[in-house]
Amino acid sequence: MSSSTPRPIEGGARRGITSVLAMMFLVIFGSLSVAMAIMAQGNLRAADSALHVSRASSAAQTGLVFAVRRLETEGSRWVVRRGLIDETYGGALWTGELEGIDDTVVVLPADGYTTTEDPAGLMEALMDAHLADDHAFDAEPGDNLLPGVINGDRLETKPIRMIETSNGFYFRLRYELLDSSEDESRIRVTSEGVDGDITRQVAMDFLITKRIPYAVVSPNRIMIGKNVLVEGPLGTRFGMNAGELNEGNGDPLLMRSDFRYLDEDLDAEIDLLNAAIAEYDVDGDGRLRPNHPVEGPPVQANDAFVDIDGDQYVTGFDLFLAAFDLDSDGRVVWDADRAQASGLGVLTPEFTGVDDQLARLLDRAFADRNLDGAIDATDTALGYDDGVLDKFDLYAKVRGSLAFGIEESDWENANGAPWRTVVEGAVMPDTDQSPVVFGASENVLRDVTTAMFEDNQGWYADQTSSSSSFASQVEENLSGTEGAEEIEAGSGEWESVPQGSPNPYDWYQRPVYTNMTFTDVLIPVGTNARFVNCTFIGTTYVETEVACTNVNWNYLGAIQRVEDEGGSITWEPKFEGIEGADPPDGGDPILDTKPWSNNLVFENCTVLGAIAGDRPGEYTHWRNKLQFTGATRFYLDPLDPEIDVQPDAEDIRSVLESFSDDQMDNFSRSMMMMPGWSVDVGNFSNEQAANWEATPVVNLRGVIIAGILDARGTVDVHGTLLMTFRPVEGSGPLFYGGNPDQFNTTLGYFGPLDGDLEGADPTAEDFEGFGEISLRYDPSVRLPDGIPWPISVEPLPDTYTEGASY
Amino acid sequence: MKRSEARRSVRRGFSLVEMLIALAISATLLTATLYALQASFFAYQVTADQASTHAVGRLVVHRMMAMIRAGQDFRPFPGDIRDRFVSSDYIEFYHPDTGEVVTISLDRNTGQLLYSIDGGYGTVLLEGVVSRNDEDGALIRPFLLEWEPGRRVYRITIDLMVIPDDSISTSADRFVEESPDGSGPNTTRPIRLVASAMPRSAMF
Repeated sequence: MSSSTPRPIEGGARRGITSVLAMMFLVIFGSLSVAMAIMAQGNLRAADSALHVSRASSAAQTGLVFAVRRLETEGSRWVVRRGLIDETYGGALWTGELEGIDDTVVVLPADGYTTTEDPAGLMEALMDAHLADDHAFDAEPGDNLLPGVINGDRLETKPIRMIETSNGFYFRLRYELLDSSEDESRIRVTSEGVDGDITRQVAMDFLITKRIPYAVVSPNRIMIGKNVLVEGPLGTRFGMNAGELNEGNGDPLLMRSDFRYLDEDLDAEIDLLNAAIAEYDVDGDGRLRPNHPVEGPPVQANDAFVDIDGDQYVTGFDLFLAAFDLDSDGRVVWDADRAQASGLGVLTPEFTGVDDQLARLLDRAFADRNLDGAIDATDTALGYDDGVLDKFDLYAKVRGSLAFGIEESDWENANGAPWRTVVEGAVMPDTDQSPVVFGASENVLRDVTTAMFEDNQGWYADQTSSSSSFASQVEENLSGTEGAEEIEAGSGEWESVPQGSPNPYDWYQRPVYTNMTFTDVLIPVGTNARFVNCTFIGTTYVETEVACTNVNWNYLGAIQRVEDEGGSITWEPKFEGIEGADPPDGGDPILDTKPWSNNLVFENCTVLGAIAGDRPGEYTHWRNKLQFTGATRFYLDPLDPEIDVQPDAEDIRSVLESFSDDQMDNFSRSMMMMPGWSVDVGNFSNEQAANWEATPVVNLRGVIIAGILDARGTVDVHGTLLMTFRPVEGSGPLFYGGNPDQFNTTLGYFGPLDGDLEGADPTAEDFEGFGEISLRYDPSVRLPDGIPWPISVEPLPDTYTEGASY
Repeated sequence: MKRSEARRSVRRGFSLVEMLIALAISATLLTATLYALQASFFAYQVTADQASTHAVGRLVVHRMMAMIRAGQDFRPFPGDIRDRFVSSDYIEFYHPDTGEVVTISLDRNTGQLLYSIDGGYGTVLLEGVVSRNDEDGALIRPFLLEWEPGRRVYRITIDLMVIPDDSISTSADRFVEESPDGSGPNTTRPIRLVASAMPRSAMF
């Protein structure tokens, strides 16, 4: 039995070795596990930190975008009459301390929330908007006191959540007024994004400014004819008054395709395309997308509807390319010499002598194609003026959006058909913009009326007060200017009004002044002259009788041309026996209003400065009218490249450079300040067509203010056309009947086929073409005072910074 | 006496066979453990380097994106003005905050992403950037500039392939994939860093 006792001793020794080994492995694997865990935790922390940074950064960026939108909506509530928002005025608008600075500011209602009273300033409006936010919350002690104003000009806002959790990421904003240069006003927005312990800041400055962001604003209907391209938005509130919309011509906008009257087959295809657009175009841009579920089927159904230019849309331009691209290379050669000079090689002309003015217009549209502020060889490389029409010309009838005060359904109910049946042509809006806006609010589109321009002419009138009278300047020219001539009133030829119209409504036997130069001149009431090859330097002020509200004012003294069977012509009163108008200072009734008004013609004249005039109490288009015909030139900028090609370039520049800063400032705001006047630019017969390439176009710059403007022939406008006359049934020129749709802002050719009896017939043998009109919005134009329009608060992307201190 | 003898007989050493077996087992276990340990260390190193490169890469890309967002006047221009896309080994732009012209470029010889100001000496932003080709064999360049017609950049995309850390890549080689037939070279798993930004001058 003794052999059984040693076993426990032996087994115990072996257990000791095993435990050592076990412990060793335990330590090794335990260390490994700990190391792995630490490493994994480190990775997780790094990833978590990166996530926080990303979220905080995104929150800050979102805050900035939020601020852009908020400043846009709140800024557009402030309707001001001043044209320039300088540092003082902008600061007053921001803080609300407007007393003694401007008592004419109107605050429009807020959008999306209500307040018990109007805000005193823009900063307070922003605070009200932030108070109405649903996602604002208190993240830190003190946030419950926000939003609040610090130091009188800085607004701090509550944090705004970006996710519906208590510890989610958020942003907060600071708006502060900056010290700016004298003629501008800036605010800075700093956006802080927060996620956990991580914060990120971004900042950007904003400019408080005032712009009328349209190429045309009109209270009357707008008509845009063939051979007219518009670079910029269009807006009209026509149709909102009773009787304006009707099934006849009561359309707020009428637009004609540029590609009509070129080829009968093409006309038929344009008709089909427009019919398809009217039925299937869902976004109102006048184009069909081949792959769109709604717009696509009509494209697939018609073999002629092919996207030739590859812009993903089928437009009239595609049909045009298909019709005239004889070698199917995707481009239509209209000027082989120009194409060769542009480096495109020797090409065969495909569209020459058909409508050269249209070709040039299309080829020279959207001139600054690389958006660098200069028109040079780079733009030519991008298709500008290169002699061929192709995809690089980026064709659009309107390069901008259309804004209407009326609702789409109201228009279509009155029209009895889709509105696109009367609005032909492609609309290419800016990125992120809708091609068409109906029911536009007053924040974005306002009516401007003649009555608003009560005191605007003061500065212009003052400019002429110290210069020689009109008669003296005429005498000086006759005695000292070579070639100066005068034909006295009543001794010259009878001229129709409008100029060259086949259906004139009146005739004048004008005085004619030729080859004269006038400086800061006041043209007296009743002059009714024709100026031929004259130069107008500085301010040209046109006087008229403002008390012209008598219903017969238009017609008193009107003349008609009567031709008997023998061919002899007599000039007879058009309206015998109509009741005269009371003169403003008493006395016998006025039976001829021509001496009480001014109906002027400027033929081949040069205007270096601005034209302004008295504000008539009523729109009387027979009497108060300016007509610019021939190669009438307007220049203001000495650096204008078009001056280079003028034979008298040196003289023009010399005059322009002699203007004072005050003159340049006022002239640049408006080269034509004629509220309530009828203004015709160009002429009905398009006489430039005979030598269209050598004839300078009629150039207009800045804000062109008129009651109604008709532009025909060859015209280039760089600025904004601001129309003031709103025709009202039963009053003014409609007192004796007629519809408001009879008064239109007309750009380009319209003729008898369009219901316009003043226009020439394109089928007639002596028809001289459709002209060439380019209308380009200029965002940099400075506005004259007096136009009530909302301010805008615009981001200045160049000031964007990251890492700004909050 | 009997107890003492008995105790002595119990304490006698392991037999040679036992020792050999024990040593063999221990050696096998230790070898396996060390191998596993080394593998763990390699994996740890690879993962740590990847994490480190990820973190550094993120910072670099984040910084580049911030500069692009605030930048202006970008280069290079399209060779043909009508082209919309430009692939490049460098981008150059004006930074309005500092008033400097910044160049970020890839040196393909060294695999370094370099940052320089006003054409000066290049600071290394990132190392281990490798070249690669697309399906057609064309070289993929790290910067893609999307232009609006002319001289305004709409968007810039950065696409970098980075070796986590070339100093440890050799030791980690054996733990990463080989070519299917085992004949190809071992390669590390590079990290791809892709980001895109729109300059604020194009956004607002």
